[in-house]
Amino acid sequence: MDSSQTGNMSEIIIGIDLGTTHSLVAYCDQAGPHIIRDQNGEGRLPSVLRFEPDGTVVVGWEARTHAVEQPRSTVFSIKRLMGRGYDELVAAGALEHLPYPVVKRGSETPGRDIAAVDVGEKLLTPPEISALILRELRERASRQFGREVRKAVITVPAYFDDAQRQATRDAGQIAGLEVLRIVNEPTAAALAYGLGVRGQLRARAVERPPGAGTTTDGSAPARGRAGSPQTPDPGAGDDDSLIAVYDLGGGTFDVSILRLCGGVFEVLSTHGNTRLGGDDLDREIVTLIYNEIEREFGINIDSPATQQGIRSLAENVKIRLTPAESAAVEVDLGRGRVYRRTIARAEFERLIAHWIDKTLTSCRQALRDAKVAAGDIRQVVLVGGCTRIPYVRRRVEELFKRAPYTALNPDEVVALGAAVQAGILAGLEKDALLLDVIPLSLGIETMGGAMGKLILRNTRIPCQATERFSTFVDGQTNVKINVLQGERELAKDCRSLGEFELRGLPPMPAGIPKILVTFLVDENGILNVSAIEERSRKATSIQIAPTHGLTPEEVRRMELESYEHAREDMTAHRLIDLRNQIAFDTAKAEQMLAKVGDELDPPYRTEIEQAMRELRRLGETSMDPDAMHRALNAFDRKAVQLAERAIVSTLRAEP
Amino acid sequence: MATETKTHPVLCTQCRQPMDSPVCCAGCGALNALPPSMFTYFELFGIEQTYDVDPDELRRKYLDLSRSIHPDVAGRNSDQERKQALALSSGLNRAYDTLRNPVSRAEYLLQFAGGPSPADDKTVPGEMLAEVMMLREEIDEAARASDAAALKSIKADVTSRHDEALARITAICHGAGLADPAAQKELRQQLNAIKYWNNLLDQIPTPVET
Repeated sequence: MDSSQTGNMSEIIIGIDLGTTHSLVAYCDQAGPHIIRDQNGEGRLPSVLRFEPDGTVVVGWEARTHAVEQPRSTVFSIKRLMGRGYDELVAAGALEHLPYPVVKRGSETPGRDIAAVDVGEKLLTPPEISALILRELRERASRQFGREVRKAVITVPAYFDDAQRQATRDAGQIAGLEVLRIVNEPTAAALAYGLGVRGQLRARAVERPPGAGTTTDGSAPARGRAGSPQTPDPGAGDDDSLIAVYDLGGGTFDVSILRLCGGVFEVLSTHGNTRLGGDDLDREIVTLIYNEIEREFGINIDSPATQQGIRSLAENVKIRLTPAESAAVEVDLGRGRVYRRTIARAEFERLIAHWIDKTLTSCRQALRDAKVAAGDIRQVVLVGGCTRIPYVRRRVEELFKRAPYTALNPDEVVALGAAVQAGILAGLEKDALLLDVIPLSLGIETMGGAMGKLILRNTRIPCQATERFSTFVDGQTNVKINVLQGERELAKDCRSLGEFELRGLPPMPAGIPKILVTFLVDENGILNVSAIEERSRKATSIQIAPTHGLTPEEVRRMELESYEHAREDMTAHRLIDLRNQIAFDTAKAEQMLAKVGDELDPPYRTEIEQAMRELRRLGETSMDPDAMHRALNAFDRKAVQLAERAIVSTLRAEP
Repeated sequence: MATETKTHPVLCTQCRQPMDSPVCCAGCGALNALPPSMFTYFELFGIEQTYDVDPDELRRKYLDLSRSIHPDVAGRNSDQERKQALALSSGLNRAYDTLRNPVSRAEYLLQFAGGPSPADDKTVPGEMLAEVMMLREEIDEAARASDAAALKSIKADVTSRHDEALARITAICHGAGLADPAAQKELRQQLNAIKYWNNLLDQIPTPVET
């Protein structure tokens, strides 16, 4: 009934894939999802930033291209630091390979552990750095639509825990975006594929002769035909089919098992590893090169520039080995020493095999959790640049005994899916609905340091659990709860999401207050905690100290700071624009004066010549855009008479 | 003597039509402002309260209702509506997860009949605990020796015991009725037993498929 959903009546919601190595932005209209590209037709924006000494930030291709020259001021793979603490990262060895400096941010609260990047003049947390990428994408979208875009759906790895999801949402807020929904990347990919596949099935149904393909349910799997993407099984139908999404991205791995039924995308299970991706495969090559250089030349590579150079080289080798059987490597070590060798594809496959084994273990776990067999899967969808690697495809095909389906560009499919979800929220996609699950169990620390699970992994979301708490001491007015996420038995082996402190309990004898705490996981997979004291039915205030995240106040402050920053940027932009305008207008006036100056009243001529000189000087020296703007306007008004005279002269001159 | 099956005298607060499910009005799409905890899981789906749940029908109803009440459904503009959608969805999800699994469904019916909770009665049938301990040792031993054949046979053994317990649960739920304290006691024990079997199954490492 409502036809105003289209066009400019409703507010635009963009879909963003905030990736480890690349990020993309897309939108959805009646025709479906579309990637928003830059002026070169490129959809991907490298998630790479360079922080200049003067405070400017360069985001994207340029920063990536010059990463080798400026290793310490170039930040990449920031996604791997999202929602994680400094101590944690050090313990995991995650900082050893980074040429840029990561430090522990000072915090008033003991127990809090937040990592930050030292970008010269200040320390920036991972959400603030991600916000700069998001801002760039947001501006790209705003340019495309000719108006400010303020709402977004952002994707995260399905296996991201609560702290990592919160950090992503915080990044959106700092970038001035209202994050309407956090969607899991494999689920987004399924959405993008699902709608495409549905269309294809309909088209096939028309072509198919009546009765054919519907007689046997377990029809033979359709093997991929050479040269053409595999089409869905005849007979599988778009009703109730199981699909597996294998998503090997730049820094994370996810697998999700979904059931598709009449537009409902029901996630049955998900598994993954937030520390396994293309970066790790590259590092296998990096380590190989380091070791061989050390053996051959006795050199320890410690200059950040060479490190960054070898990192880029390794990535390049990985990419070249997809079409080619071997790739030549050459590293100039100076003083006539050159490291040369050829890496064969088979050798690369041996290097990465243990990583791919890990991904397949996750796949088996996901199948187990979904209570389905590998053979039940009707379609295997590949997502992420690393799934172009022939070895990865081969191993995935072996596990599911089915050629993977790869009709869409694996770099773009997640962003397209995010845009489809944005379309669902906007009411454009009325038939589609996404039902997702929580990837990791949630619980609380119980007496003796055990993890008491309240919500099990793969529970469908939204979901909630309640738990009763009381006091241990007479007159106690505060109760602290340590909220945990993970699968391990002991609290210390799980991630602490934060300490929730119930405050303002009425002073009563120990054990008398009954506080009912509700843990609600919303559709984004993000935890919300609320509490009431049952006797008084009074809501209890909860103070949350996120262990590895930012408090709402901190996020708001960063958002404001980034606005101010944006204002500074705007001033710089405005100054440049005004200077150009002044140079242009004065040059034009000069031309006109040369042509018709003699026809003017001498006092007017003197006045305009003087105003022109003054404006030029102002344009060259002033830093005050408002003063420049006023002077430019005044000059333009003065020059009206001159311009009229010039036009008359031009008309006269024409035959 | 037999109690009447519960009906749903719930009328939609918006259009005053009787509601098939108290979650959401199929007629006008309005969400129910009442918390889902006011209704039984069966009532939420608008199905008869019985152990014999048709899984296909339950799933169809679950998907249909989700389409109406999920927080993603467009057009909810007030905070109040969004909160309602969140509460209803999480209530429906829990009800669905409970009812579609035959063990949790039996547990729910037992609780509804006023039977003992897992905390009230932790006993298991007969000599089962000794058997479980023996099996656990066998699993450890086979895992240490990476004896895939032994693991496979233990798994088959535990699976058949699990299935037996499930068959008993089904039979009790179908039988004279859960009002009988003896039936309640036996059901409690079988539900406790099946937890042990499930834990054991989780402990058996799956040999890597080749």
